Amino acid sequence: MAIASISDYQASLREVPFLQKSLTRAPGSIILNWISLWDQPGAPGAGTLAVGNTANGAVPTDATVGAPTVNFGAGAGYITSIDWAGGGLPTGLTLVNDHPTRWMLYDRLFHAGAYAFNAAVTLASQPSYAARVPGSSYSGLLLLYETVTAFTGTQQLAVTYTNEAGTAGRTTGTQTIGTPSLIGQMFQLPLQAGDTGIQKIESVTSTTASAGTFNIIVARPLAMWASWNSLNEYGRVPMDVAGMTPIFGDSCLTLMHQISIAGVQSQIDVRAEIASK
Amino acid sequence: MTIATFDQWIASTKQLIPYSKTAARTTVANRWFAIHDLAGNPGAATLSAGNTANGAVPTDATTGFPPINFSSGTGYLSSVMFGNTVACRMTVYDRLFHAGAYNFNDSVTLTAQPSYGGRIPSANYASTQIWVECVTSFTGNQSIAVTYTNQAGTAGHTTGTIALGVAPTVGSMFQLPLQAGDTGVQKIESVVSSVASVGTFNVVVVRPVWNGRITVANGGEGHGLDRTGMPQIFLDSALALMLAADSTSSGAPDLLINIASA
Repeated sequence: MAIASISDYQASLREVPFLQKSLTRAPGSIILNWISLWDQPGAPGAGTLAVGNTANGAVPTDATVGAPTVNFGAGAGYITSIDWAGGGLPTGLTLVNDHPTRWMLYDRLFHAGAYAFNAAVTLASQPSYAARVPGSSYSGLLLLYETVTAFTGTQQLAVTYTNEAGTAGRTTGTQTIGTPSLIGQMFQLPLQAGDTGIQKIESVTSTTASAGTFNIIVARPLAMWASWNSLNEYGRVPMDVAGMTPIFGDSCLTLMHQISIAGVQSQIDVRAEIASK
Repeated sequence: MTIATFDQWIASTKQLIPYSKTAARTTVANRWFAIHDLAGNPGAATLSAGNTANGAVPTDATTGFPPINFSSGTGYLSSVMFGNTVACRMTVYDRLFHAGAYNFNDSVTLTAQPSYGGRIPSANYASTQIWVECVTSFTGNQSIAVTYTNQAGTAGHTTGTIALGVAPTVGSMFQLPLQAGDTGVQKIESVVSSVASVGTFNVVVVRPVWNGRITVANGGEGHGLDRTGMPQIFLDSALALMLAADSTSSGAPDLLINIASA
């Protein structure tokens, strides 16, 4: 049943899936780009960056390696708050203030890859993620790109998809991705004018580059926050900000982050409270 | 029903709307710019309003505006989680009315303007604003005068002729002052542009619903209901973002806007 009052919240099952990531990348000058934490070590353990399915794609769940377990099996679940803490100092770096890092928690609904730099693939029999879309509304889903191996040459990419209303053949247009040099580097792809979401990925066409591989992801954003000092900081996204976003028993909770100064990144612990009833 | 207690907020239906722009606009430091026409999610809107004679009332179904999912009851902007790659100010607004694109030398009296009365909380037009929005770049500094019906329904009020003092670049937005004593706008009546020699623009009526500030590049914050004030949102509100960057790029803003409805 739904949580409809403070009393319901107090009586709800509350679990706190824990994402603790020890960041091992050396992002160097890759700043102000989203960077995936899917394959970073910690708890849960590292996910496999290459999806391993280019023909159909896959729908990862909380049982997929890399995602924390969500325990509630019945009723409705909500993200009611998020505690986060950064810590640790990467070797050779000093504490830097006023260089924020942004973080986004999302439900990884669908992923496909790893596609080669010259892939031209029309997907078939794509699994549906309809059960992980609140209210049957596909609006508000994001189309993301995730670098699996570093690129040589400037990549051009076009993705076609079925939009939120079920209209097939929509396209991102050909986007100049550039030369992703960092494994895990992510880009948000723009939707066709008028679109607000994605029901299905239809095709992936990459050209121009001469080396490199990548995934395509459909993500449902859940929360976003910023740490201000890169390191050694604690913060909380309280209930009224987290907004009691609906979550599902098999949601694949995933993090990405974005640094703002070359060479600096944070370790992160994230405890997302899920209340269910 | 309205949301009148915290329990009712908890019980309300929530819609989390992402608003991200993947393309950046060249800006002028500390000047407001439209960015709803840039690529991202939602996809790009059309900058030109597409109607100079009557104007139009954009809705959530208009290309480039995020859909509002609740279909009955009352909706509120409950929280905003936001960030950007550049330091800036941001305003989310309900785009109530727009008309254009007018030429640099147009003098147009509008007729049969559609009403946006259904998007005014408690039928109180106070705090609605008139903005000028550049569609194609100008040559020469623009001067503009807009006449309007004020919040009380009094026709023939005017902004006076306002010399912007600049040649607007694409997306530039300037708020026009209302006549002394006025606090809002029921209807745009006429638009007169002069002095500049090239360029086109829209006239827009907006209802601001949220303001935020990114103090450092790549910063972000979350505003809960105590900071948003839970302004009312309508099921056909045309939510858009305008942005005033500290420097010369609009960056790549990301917002997660939570609409609570009951």
